[in-house]
Amino acid sequence: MSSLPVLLFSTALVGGLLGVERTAFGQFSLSRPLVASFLFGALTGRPAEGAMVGIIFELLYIRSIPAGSYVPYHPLYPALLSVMLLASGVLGDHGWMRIPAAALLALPAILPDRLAEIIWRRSNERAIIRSVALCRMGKPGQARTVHMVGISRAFLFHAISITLSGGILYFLSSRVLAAVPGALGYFSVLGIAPFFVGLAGVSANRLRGFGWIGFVLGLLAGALVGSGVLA
Amino acid sequence: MIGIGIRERILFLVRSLSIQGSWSYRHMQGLGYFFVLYPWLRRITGDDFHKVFKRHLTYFNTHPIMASYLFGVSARLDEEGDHEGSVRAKNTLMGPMGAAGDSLFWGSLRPLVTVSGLCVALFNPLAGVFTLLFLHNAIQLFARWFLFDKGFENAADPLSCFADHDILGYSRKIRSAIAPPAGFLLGMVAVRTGTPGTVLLLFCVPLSLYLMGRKTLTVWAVVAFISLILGVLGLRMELPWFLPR
Repeated sequence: MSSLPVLLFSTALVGGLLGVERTAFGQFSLSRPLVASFLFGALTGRPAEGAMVGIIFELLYIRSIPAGSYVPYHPLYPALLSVMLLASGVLGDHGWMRIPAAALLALPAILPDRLAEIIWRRSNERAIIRSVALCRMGKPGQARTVHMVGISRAFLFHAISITLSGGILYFLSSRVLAAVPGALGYFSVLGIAPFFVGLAGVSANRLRGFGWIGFVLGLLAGALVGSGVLA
Repeated sequence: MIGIGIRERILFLVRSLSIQGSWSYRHMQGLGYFFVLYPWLRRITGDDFHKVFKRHLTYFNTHPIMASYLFGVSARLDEEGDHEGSVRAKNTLMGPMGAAGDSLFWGSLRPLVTVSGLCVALFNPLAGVFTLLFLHNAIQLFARWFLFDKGFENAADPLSCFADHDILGYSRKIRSAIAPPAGFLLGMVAVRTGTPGTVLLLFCVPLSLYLMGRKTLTVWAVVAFISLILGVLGLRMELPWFLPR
């Protein structure tokens, strides 16, 4: 268990960097929830729990793709903030039930995540106009700087946004869990929800013809291995 | 002709990673495109470089990986002095390239890589993370390098490179390959995290769905809702089949 300010600071740092990596620079998949929550989990001493959170969010958002100019819902904040909640100790000592509970509590953070991304994109709107003006003034080299400022602004927006979201989430979670005794038990049933969402995502446009046979065979194999029959 | 060496190619590759660094709703990747081409244009143009720069500071939006092909085309045409042709090729191809890239990379390859990483992560989280990162980055970096080369080679007739390739057909084939690992992953997740009652319900779904004519999303949503309600009721009534293990 770490202190809240330390956790919030590390969340801001990791969230800011991964927020940049998601769109502005690289797209190396470091901001995918599996990788992000595993890395942050490793940083806070709970890599296995981080990976479980990552699996839940990967399944929930398997269909979310940035096609065209659409800003998709990206589960970076929920993935990082779930790990932050687990590390903060606000969920008590309830074994594996804490993981779906943390994921569920952090899920609304998907909204500030998208909002920060949209604000960053809007903040860049004058960048190209400034760059054309700089070219006219015979300073095209400075137009490159405008581009680099756009990248650093992405870090700033995501770092501030995730810090605020984390603080609010911690405050609300502690209040909700104190007010509703046994809430974690009900959350355990929701562990199955990512299955359905992932299933819908996979089946929406990826199961045609023989794909169904492969899918059902894979499903059965997974069930047998998961239950220990084929282990 | 100046010719393009390995140093320039690496510079293009590294800079192309930041094409969306100043993404905006008005000009989208316009400034990013200029940023990637800047050192090359500075090198190949003479005193009139301001005019050439301004031509590239316009609206541009395509798939970030497929953009490498257009960098190759622009680099070659600008080098040959055909600045009009460079801008025309960019404007003509960005739409189709974007659609093909979204379908191939975001809609097919990324889910396949993600599902593969998740399958491995269920057994070993660290190996799963490395699988996802390695597969994704190997594919994207190779594609960026390869597409830039192809664009540079086929700049005179940029469409010729795609005439023999059915990119949407490749996407469909890759999507079919997602099915078995996705099934495996979901089967394991269901059995490991669900209660026996909800899992039993789940395994009736694929068959009934197939028989119902694949009305996928709506049916999943309804079944998910019913299953969750049953799960909560079963837990509330302490039915053994619905108690988490």
